[in-house]
Amino acid sequence: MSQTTADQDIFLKWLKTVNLEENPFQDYSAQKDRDLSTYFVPLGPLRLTDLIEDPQPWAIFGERGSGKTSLRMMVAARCRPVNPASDILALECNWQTLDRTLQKAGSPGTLTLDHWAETLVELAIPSLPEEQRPRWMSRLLSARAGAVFLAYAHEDRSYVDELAERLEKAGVAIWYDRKLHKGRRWCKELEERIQNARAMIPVLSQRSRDSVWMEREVLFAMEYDVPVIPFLLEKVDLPLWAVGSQCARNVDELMRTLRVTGRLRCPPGYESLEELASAASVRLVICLVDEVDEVPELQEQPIMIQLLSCLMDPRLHSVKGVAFRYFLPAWLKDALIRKGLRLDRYRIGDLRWDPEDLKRLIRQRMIAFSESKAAPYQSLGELCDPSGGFAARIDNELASLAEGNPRAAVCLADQLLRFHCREDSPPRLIRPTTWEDVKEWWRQEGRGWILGQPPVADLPFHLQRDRIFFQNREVILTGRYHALLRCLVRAGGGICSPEDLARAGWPKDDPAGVTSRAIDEAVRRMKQKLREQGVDPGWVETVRGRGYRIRPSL
Amino acid sequence: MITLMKGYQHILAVVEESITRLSTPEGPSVLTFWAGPGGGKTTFLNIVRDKYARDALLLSGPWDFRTSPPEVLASQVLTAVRDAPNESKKLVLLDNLDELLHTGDGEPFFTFERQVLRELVRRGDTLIIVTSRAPLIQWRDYDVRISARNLHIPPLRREDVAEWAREQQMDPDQAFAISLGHPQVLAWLQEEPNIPPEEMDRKVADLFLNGLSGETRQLAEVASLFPVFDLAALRPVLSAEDTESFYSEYVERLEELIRKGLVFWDGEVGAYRFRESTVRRLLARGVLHRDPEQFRRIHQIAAGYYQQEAQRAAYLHRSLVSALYHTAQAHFGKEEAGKVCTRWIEDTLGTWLGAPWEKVLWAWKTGAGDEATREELQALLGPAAFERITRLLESAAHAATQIIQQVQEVNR
Repeated sequence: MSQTTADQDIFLKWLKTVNLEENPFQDYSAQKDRDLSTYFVPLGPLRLTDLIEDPQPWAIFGERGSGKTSLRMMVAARCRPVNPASDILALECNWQTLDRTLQKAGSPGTLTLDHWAETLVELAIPSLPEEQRPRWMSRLLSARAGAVFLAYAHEDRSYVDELAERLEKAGVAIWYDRKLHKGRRWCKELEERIQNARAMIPVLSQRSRDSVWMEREVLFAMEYDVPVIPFLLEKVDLPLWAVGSQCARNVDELMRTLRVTGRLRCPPGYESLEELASAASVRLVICLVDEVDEVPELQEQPIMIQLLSCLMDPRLHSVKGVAFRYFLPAWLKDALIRKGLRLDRYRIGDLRWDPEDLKRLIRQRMIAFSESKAAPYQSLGELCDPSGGFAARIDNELASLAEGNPRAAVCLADQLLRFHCREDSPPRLIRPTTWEDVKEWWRQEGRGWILGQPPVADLPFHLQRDRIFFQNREVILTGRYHALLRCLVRAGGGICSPEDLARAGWPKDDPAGVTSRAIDEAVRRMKQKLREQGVDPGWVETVRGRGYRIRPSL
Repeated sequence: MITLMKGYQHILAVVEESITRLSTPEGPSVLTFWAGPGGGKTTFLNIVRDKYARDALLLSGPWDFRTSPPEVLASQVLTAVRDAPNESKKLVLLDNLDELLHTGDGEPFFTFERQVLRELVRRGDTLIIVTSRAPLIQWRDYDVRISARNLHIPPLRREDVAEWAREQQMDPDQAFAISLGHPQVLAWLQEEPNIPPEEMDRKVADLFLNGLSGETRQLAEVASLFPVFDLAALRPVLSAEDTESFYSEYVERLEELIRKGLVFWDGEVGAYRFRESTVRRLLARGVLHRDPEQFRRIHQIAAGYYQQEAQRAAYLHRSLVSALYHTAQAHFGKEEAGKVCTRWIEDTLGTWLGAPWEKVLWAWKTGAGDEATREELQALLGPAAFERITRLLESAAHAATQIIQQVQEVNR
């Protein structure tokens, strides 16, 4: 939600009033928040130390906003290069890293283990002392960016066109005079191209051997230390400048020579990763692979699986001194198993947040941002009006509404503070009515925004004032059943807790006094009545231990 | 300060266990033993020192943050740990670490955490025992945070006080009644066995309320009569209007009490309460001695407030204990307290259909999460009334379950 400057001023003033240094809930995602002290990620039976030190591969699954990236950053913060005292080096691969790797390969289908290994080496290089870098790594680094320059006689043009095409297909950038820009001073352009070339390839034939222009170009290249690799198009006596040069007789030989002389980028091969740990003088290198689902144009599951089958190739896990940690969306787990990925060979972590964890997260942020370090705030309740028991229940209600999602919990807490400051002079304590407004906003907008759940309009049910429609046909229910279904439809596919349903179905009673059995029974009957009206009751789904919701699809 | 090693055996066992579990994944590395002023922190640390100095575990210390600058202590601690043999388990004792939180903007605390504690925690072979006037929850570093545990240094138990009293040739029951097991009060009693009650009350108030503004001190005394409270509950007692200015004014005072470490927000109960029940009861006794009529009036108003709150069956677990506690206190010293409370329960029970009985029974049996409140309530009501109320509540819970089952049977 955007705020005007005046709103922002009111907000900041109020935060000061309640002795908060800043808004503890302003950042919903880990990337924006580099201060690890405000993080909390429940690991259940797992231990952060194991996650860092275990040489086995790990796969951590979590829903959107469940703290995967926070966890990755927590791990990275304990390793080199962030923590120079550690004997473990962390290589963080986020969506940008993965995107670069894909661009190198062209597509997920053509991505090879070598491309992936090259990316990891590139990530590691800044952390490796120069004198300890393996030779192949230096070659990788020294490769010049320019194209390979082809010098030839015009009589050989048809063959040179073919050679250029084959080299370009093999990934070698080529320049020859057919690419001269019209209108530019060609002599000047030739000079620039040769000076910046990765290598010069004179195509030697009976026609070109005595070409004055070729000789001039070759000598010019030698002047600028551009390596010259003569390509023998046919049997020919070498000219004086070519004597003693490493000549190539076919394209394969040419490619090999280009690689050996370090003139081509040379993918290191995944086996070379074994050298990383010793080159970095560390006990272990851990590769933290995250944000696979955030790579642009890679949103479809089959393509993502294709990418992961390379990133999680079992051969990588036999490389000594290198361990992999994959932070993956929970919805990919089944797909990966179906694809045949042996998850039993991984240590598996599932990021699940129970309401107590969410309250702990809120507590931790409140503590971190409280002005009084000696007596920091520990709950939202401390900022709320105690009348009517609101202060006592707010943290529980928020944790329940957040559906086990920490980003949702932080967003709700943020909105509670911001909604309170919509007034010109907000009172010191937050009113219960403000929370009601936040809940309404969450159902209408916030939930879809944060959790990516379908908004009300995408469900088969919709409301028109108080009337309920299923696929544009009105559903007639009476009394409590109407109220319950209306509550579910208003939640827009979100989970309605027993308390929400109790408020809707038993408006005159205290919600906590309505038993869950009474609610279950009423929902059962409501579903029966839906069936009588030709609506599949399966649209209403039980979410074990949390309540009910309308399914987005059947 | 008296040293009653026996009284601390059960918390010493935690230290012993933590030393055994050092270098294992579950082993906590930072144990914070907290208690209010005169609560026995330094005594406890000295007991630990004496016990483990013999085992050559102890490096040095206790290092006291009240008497030395943190930079000096940081360097001493780190040097001692680094100079110790690598293979041995180590024990570091830090007294009054929370002092650093009150120094300037609290930054010295975080500097010490970063420079010293984090390094020690990551070693895995060092147990750090810290004392503080309140639980330490402010840790910034993740490694320190997950390896830290807070433990309360409780007041001495009745049997420990009795043993001490016999050594002092005092009446054990009287010694416990005066001190409630608080170590500092016992020390005063040792110095002056016949200390007049008003003199003891003055000392108690000075010890716990020293440095507070007059208004906040007054609020602390009123709040000490409440096992749990919030501003809505205090408002009728303070005869204040339900206005925004009331909340603003009193929130400031409450925050002063929180900063002092006397009071905290109990998220589980959803109310403020004193950190230490013993301190609350010692302060409340001062109010009783000074003005018994005021004491009774406050409890009467509070009883009315919580009895009204108890009409909301859905939140009965939040109001029941307070309603009975204040009702009983309003009849303090009279035999009918138990009868009045039992009658109120009998009269109201019928309106509580739909109450969350599991939570209600938990609140009743634990004194809303405070054992001392439960014991006090039991003493106020008398064992027979307490037992009868327990049976009434259990029967109501049972009946509610039966009704729900019957309704389901009908619906089936």
